[in-house]
Amino acid sequence: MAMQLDPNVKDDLKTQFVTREGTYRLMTLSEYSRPSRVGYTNSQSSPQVRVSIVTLPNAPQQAPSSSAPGAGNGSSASAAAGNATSSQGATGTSASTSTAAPAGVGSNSIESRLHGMHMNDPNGMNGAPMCGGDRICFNFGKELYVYAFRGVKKGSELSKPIDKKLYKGTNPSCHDFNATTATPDGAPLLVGFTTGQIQLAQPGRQPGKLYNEERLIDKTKVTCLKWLPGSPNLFLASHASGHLYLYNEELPCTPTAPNYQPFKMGDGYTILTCKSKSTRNPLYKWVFGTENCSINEFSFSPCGSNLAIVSQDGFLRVFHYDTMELLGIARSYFGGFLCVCWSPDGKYIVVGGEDDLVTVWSLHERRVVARGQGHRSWVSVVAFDPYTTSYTNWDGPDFSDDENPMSGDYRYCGNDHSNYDLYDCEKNCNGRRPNSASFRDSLAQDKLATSYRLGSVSQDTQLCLWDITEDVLRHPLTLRQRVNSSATNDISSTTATGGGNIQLNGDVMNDVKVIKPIATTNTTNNTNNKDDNSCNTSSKNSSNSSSSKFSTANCTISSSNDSGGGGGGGGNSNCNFEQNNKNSTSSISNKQNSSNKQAICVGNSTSKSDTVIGTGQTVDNSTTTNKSSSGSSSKSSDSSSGLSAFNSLTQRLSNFTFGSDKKSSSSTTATNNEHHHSHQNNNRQNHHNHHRKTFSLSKSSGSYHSSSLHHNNFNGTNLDGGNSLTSLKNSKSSQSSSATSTTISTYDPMKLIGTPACPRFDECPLLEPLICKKIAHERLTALIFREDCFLTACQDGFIYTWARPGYSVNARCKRICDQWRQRRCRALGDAERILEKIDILHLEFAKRAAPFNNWLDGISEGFVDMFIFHMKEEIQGLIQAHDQFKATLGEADKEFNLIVGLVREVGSIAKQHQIHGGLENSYTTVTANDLTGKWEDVRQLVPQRDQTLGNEQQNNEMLRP
Amino acid sequence: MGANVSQLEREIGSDFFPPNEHYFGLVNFGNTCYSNSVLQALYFCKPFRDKVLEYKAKNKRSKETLLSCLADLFYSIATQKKKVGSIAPKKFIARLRKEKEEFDNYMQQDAHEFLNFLINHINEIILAERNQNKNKNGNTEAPPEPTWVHEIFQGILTSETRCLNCETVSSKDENFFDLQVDVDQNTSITHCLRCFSNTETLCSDNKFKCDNCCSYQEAQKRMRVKKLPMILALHLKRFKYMEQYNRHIKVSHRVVFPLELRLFNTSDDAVNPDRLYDLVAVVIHCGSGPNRGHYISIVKSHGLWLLFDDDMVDKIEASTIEDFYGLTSDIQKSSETGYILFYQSRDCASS
Repeated sequence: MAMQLDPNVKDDLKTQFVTREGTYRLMTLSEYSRPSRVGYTNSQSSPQVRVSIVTLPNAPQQAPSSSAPGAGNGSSASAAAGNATSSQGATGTSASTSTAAPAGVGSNSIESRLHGMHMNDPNGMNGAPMCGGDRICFNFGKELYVYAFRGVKKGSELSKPIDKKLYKGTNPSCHDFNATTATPDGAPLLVGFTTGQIQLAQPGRQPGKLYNEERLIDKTKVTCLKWLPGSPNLFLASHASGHLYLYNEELPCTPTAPNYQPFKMGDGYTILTCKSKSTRNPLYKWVFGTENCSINEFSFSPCGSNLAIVSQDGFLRVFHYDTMELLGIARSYFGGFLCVCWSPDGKYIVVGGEDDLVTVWSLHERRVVARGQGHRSWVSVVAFDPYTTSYTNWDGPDFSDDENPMSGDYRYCGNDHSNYDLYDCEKNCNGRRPNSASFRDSLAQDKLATSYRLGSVSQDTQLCLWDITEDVLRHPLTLRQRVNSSATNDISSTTATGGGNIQLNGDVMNDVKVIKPIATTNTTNNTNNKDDNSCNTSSKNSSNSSSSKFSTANCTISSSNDSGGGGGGGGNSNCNFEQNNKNSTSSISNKQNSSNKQAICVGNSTSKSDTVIGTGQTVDNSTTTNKSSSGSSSKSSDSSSGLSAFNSLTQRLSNFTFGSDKKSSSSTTATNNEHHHSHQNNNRQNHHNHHRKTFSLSKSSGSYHSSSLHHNNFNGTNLDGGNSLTSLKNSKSSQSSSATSTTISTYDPMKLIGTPACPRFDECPLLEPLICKKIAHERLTALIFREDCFLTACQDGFIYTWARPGYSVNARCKRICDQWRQRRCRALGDAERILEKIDILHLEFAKRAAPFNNWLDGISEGFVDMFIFHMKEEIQGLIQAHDQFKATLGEADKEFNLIVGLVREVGSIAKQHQIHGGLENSYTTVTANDLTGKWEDVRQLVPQRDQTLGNEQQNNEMLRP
Repeated sequence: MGANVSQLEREIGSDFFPPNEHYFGLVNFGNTCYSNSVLQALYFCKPFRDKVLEYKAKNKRSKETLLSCLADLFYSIATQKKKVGSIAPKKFIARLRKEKEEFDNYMQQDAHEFLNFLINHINEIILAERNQNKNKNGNTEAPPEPTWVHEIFQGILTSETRCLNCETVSSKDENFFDLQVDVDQNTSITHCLRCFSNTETLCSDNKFKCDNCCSYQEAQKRMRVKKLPMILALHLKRFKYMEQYNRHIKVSHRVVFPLELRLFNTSDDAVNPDRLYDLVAVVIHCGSGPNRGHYISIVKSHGLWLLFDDDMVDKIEASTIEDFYGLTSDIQKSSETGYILFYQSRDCASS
């Protein structure tokens, strides 16, 4: 009833939309749908429909599939995982198979407890020729489905799931494939449940294993599950309780409720470890100190070293995973954060939440750099589209295949005019105009013109695509803000920490990001005078550009970095080096200096670098240098000169540090208790070891040995015994200092407003969506970008595939359209020609018919005339005239036939082309029938006339004597 | 009922039961759930409850008003020996029926109308009593000071109108006790509030009398919040008059409301635009139309969420709040949907 009242219901759902790269089309045929579409089921309160995808390796003898799994839910491990799969796939699986046996204890009861019911023949999955390719998994209500995923290529198996489970008493709430241990037969699949249990289903093995079976570890809903990037057996599970647990797939869970002991304390978080004689699950438990902090999602950075966690308390927390150090936080404008994703280069994190916004947070600057407004309700999923994100040096996939008509446009997508008009002001643009190839080339020299493509779906049933250009991210203020500048100037001076100053000289603009410190007291920043700032920025200029350039490269080689153990997180390695360098020069005295409140951060960063953390905390450094600008800016600028030369070294350093870590951990065997700090330190190393034991360490420890010496020169000592002392001290200082930098003010949203962690609404650039389309009737719950398509899922259980512009079916479709159009064009042309011909014939007819008609009329008139002759000569004359007339009849007959022929021709053309109607001759009222009738009359009249004339002549002769 | 009551206590746990807090249901006197639900919501708006109890303490022996009846009711809940139970708001309902004709029957009423009446009426009572006192003191010159009802519920809307002829912007402030927002399908309350402040063009019959042009002109108008109230009451306009049916029809659209809210639609000169609100109570309408169905309320108390259904009180999980957002499909006629939202400013909670 209410349906008819609602004007919105009539809103057409979009089945296609156009961006500048072309048309995205909804593929109706490869729509995965829950088979049982029974009437109205209340899907309102059932768990969010989520989608996981994995790319399986091809048959063993072949080279591993080149297509890395796309970004999104199921593919947290991108290129790195892909590589790992190729090298480790087979061995990894076999390893887990062999060791998994003892862990499988009680797995029978699990299945019965969860009442998981296989609805298909388990053999069917092995028997089916389903090797390699992609797998898609999604949950709906109590059901869980696994299908073969064909992307835009249609498959006949669509209606038949590979696996289908129905659970009783609980609902699956999240899942993740392990891309690392995927085999051609399938990939291990983790499934979390609303009641807290976690199930692991491995291909070809029934039944699966269960974790937290008795709910002793956590009773609340599993909200997110992820395999550690590149790991065959470690996974993280988050719960609605707000806790995060690390499991090892091979280990059993504790038989009783686990006892925990503190392992690491940080600002507003504690990491606990399980207290038991043998190692048991969970290995670690992360606890966060805010109320109602149900974790909604977490995500590993593309390089695998950083972890971003979003929760219902409205916080984004970013950790360096291995060291468990908090890198930074952000706060929602209000309400919970619901989803999180990393930019493909690991430089930015985007979160979406209950404030209807997408929020962009910079890892470099540790601040919110932009917000996007476009959704009409809560944002449920955000995902970067790595295939449409463009870099200065184009290193995305090549779209210039034959099928793609828009390939040219792809090349400068994101640099489009319209985009610039939206966000940019030409004054600051220094005359760079976007729309040419030379534009990109020129940019490559100095500035980045990266454009990130972001997608988001929301409870408002809309899909939004966003282009986030570096320009926007670089600008501390937007156009919108400049309009009401009077207000914002105040704000920026008090809160935006010197951003206003930098604004003045446009050249330095792109460096603002480095300058902005994290959430600290504003008073500190105000003490920085302008000179310091500008000096600092000029020195940073080089570092920034080079670092960002480098980060792009980093991104592409992230896999190698990753397996090296840490690698450079995004483009931070520059800063990292800088920091190391500074440490060596400014050393401890600097730290001593830092006893005053401002230098706390310096102490912080120094200590961190000493504690041998490769990558993550480098972000601190950018801040650090800024902070130290009042005190030791000269040093930092010194160190930042000629950075690029040391880039590779820095990388090696980070590699090395990892290696050294391992060594020291082996030497200082884990004495777990006693001294708190040593405990912490050791454990951390332990932790490293533990976490990463699958990584090959030979590379870092062996081939980079020379650099390690180098490193020693720089940084004092890390390998020898004295180091442990310093690191102890450092860990202490890091703890205290970091506590100072983030505690108290940090987690109070009332105090966070107006800080970089949560700028006021008008202090932050506001993005508008590139497109915003309503594509469903129910709220949208998943978004995954793939090379040839993207996927959306809806709470009603439907999974939709959207083909990218120029991809197969689209191209085919387009070809058909083109053909059709061509044919139509031709047909129209033909029709026009025919009608024209008819027209010409008609005109010809008219021209000829009119005089002929007149002539005919004249004849019949003349013939009918009665005549009475008095003279013989008169009759003779008539007869002669008549004879002459008869001689012309042949001509007339020809003319008649010609005229009638015209009409007949028109008729036959009309018949041939099936033209109905419209054949009336507009040029004349004379018809062929008229003429025919009259002509017949004339022909009959001529012999009559002959006879009459003959009779008359005879009569005359008879009369004449 | 006793079993039910003890169950609630058991569910909360004696150790966790908030001290000095009482969860009492209100007995239904025949379709008085519209009143019960609103009263419960107001009771758990802490500033309001405190002021009402304060009033009770100050005015021991005054003549019976709706406010005194309310104060007695709140007082009797707050001073119960038992922690949970139910109570009959007999005196209050009787008084209400005397005060306003529309409520003097056994029909279902609109909870929002009741809330509106109650708040305004209480405010009038306070003003009247104040005037009485002032008259006694012989001081009538003093400017009207805001009452505590103002302090709690009143915000200021500023409507800015730009004449399209002369481009003059004129703004006019008006007070409000609650904001009434239209609802769209699959949106958030944030979106509804934004739409509330969307620019509207005044034209044809609805032209604006421009003082500058001295004539009726086309104009653009938008309403934004200038002063944010301590308690922000949001009324979702779910009852829509449909001409073809000649009656009000319930709009069950799904409108999500977060536990925490900031306003986007504040004016540039807003006094306190950063205010962060927490959801403290929701009046929920169950059923298919304004004059039928049922009202219940959910409230937040000391971190617990409780559901008050007349004389029944249940503890609920925060996650069940999503059941009251509304329906995405219009197949079902009946729905349980949030109708009035009470958001309380966080800065007042701490003080």
